[in-house]
Amino acid sequence: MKDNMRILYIAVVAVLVIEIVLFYLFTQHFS
Amino acid sequence: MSTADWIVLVVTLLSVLVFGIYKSKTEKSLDGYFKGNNTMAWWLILLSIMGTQASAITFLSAPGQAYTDGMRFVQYYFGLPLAMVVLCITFVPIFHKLKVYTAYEFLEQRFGLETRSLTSILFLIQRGLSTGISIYAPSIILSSLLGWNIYWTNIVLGGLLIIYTVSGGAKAVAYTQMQQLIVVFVGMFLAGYMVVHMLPDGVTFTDALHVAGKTGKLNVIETHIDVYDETWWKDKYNIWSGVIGGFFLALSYFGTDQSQVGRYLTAKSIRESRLGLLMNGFVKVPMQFLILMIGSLVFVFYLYYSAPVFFNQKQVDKVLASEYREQFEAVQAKNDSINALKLIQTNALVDALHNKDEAAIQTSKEQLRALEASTAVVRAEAISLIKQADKAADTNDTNYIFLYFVLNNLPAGLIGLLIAVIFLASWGSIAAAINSLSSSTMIDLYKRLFKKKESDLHYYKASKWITIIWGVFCIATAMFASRLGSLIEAVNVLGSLFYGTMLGIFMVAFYMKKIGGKAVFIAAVLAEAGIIAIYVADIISFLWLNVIGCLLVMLFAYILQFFFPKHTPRELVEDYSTSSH
Repeated sequence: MKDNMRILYIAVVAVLVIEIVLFYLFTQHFS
Repeated sequence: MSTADWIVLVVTLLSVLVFGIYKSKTEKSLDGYFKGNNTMAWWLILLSIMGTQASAITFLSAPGQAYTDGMRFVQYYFGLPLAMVVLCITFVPIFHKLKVYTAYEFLEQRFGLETRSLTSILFLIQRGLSTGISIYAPSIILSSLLGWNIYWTNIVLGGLLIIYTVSGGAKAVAYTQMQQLIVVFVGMFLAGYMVVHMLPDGVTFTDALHVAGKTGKLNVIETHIDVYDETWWKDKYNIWSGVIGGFFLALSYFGTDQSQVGRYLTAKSIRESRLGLLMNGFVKVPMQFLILMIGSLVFVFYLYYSAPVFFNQKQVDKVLASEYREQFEAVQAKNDSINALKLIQTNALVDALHNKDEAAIQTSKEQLRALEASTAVVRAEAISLIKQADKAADTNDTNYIFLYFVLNNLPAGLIGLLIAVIFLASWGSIAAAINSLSSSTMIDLYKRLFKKKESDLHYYKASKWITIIWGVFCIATAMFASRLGSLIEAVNVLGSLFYGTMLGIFMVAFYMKKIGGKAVFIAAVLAEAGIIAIYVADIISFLWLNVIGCLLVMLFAYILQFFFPKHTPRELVEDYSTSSH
C-alpha cells in the first residue's frame, strides 16, 4: 500500500499555525 | 488519606500491574523482547510515546507552573509538531529500513564503532541518572505532603513496574502505558471539572477564565522579541524559544533518545510509526494547554479560598517548629489579610464582568494585579524564613501546588485516584526508560563488544538480567538522591547538555554525506565542550543550547573534514536523505 503521508505532514503544520493564532486570540480576549 | 482513597489507589495500581504481567508473554528473542515482534498499531505507538514523555512531574509541575507564571509554558511544545514531521521524513524510514534495535546502532553503519559507543554511553549515563531522579522527584513530593516514608515511596513508585518491564519487555511497557494514560486522563479531567465545580455559586467557567486572564494567568502567547536584550535570551518561554528551541529539543528527544526511539521501533510498519508520531504532533499541544489551564483555574480557586503562603507543608512545619515561628506566623497573617482583599476584588471583578462595566473591570484588574505583587513580596519573606530555619530547604514550591490543592480540596476517592495518576505517570515513563537502557546496553555494548555469537535465548535471558540491574540502579539513584541536595538540578541539566550534540551527530549522518567518522567524533567532543562553557557562563536559556549544540557539531564537522581523507559513503547509507517518504 502506498504510504501517502504528505497530506498529514501539511495538516500537522497547519493545525499548529491555527492553534497559535487561536491561543493568541484567547490571550487577548481574556486579558 | 481516607479508606476510600486507599482502596482506589491500591485497586488502580494492582490492576495495572496485573494487566502488565498478563501482557508479558513475548517470544523469547531480542526481537520479541525489545520490539514486540513489530506488532504495534499506530494508536498504541501514540499512547506509548505520550506515556513515555509524560512523567509524574509533568502532571505535578505544569499546573503549578500555570499557577505561578501563567500558561506561557505551553509555547515550549510548539516546536514538537514540526519535529514530528521531520522525524517521519528522515529518521523513521532509515531506522526501519536498517531494522535497527537502537538509534545508535545506525551510527556505526554510518560513522564507525567509536561514534556509536560514544553516543550510546552518553545516553546510558544521562538516562540512567535522570530516571533515578524521576523516581525521586515525585516521591519527595508525595512523602512531604502525605508523611510517607521516602524509601518505601521510592520502591513502590520505581520498583513495582520492574516486574512487568522485566517479564514483558517493550510489549508489556506499551500495553500498560495505554492503561496508565487512560487513568491519567480521567483523573486530570475530573480534577479540572472539580476546580470549576467548587467555585462559589454564580461564578461560571467563563468568569473564572476572565479572572485568570485579567490576573495574567492566561498569557499563552508571548511574542516580545529583542535580540539585543540579554534577558530576552534567558527568557525560557516565549514563542521564539518555543518554536525554534522546542523544535530542536523535540527532534533530539524523539530522534536520538532511545527511550522514545525504542517505542516507535515496535510498530508494525513505517506507516504505523509515522502515524503514531504525527498524531502526537496533533494532540500534544492541546493536551498541555488543558493541563496548564487546570493550574490557572486552581489559581482562581485560591482567590476565593485563601491560598497558603507556601505550598510545601513539610517546610512550613519545620519553620513553625523553629525559633522563627513568630516571624513566620506574622507573615502568614499578612498573607491572610492580602487574601481577604483579593476575595473582595475578585468578587468586584466578577460583578463588573456580569454588568459589563468596563471601568470597574479595569479598576479591579489593576487592584488584583497590585495585590498579586504584594503576595510575591510576602512569599519572598516566607521563603527567606524557611531558608533561615533550614538551610537545605527546597524553596521552590511550584511542584507542590497542584497536589496541595488535590489533598486539601478534592473529595475522598478522587484524592486516591489523583495519587494513582502520579504513580502511573511515573510507571509509564520509568518503564520505557528502563527498557531502553536495557536495549542500548544489550545491543550497543554487550552483543556488539563482549558476546558476539551467542544464541537468541542467551541474549533474551541476558536482556532480562540487564533490565533488572538498570531497575535496581535507578531505584538506588533515587534513594541516594535525597543526599544530593541541589546536585539534583545539575543531574537534570546534564541531560539537556548532551541533547544538542547528539542531535548534531545524527544530522551530520543524515544530511552531510561527505563527512566521515573521525571528523564528526572530534566535532562532537568540541561542541560538547563549547556547550558546557556556554552553560557555565549562564548567558542563555537552556532551550537554545540544543540549537547551538546541534549547529556547532555540523559546523565543526564540516571544517574538520577538510583535514581528513575524503569520506566515501557506503552503499547502505548512500540514499539516506532521499529515502522514500
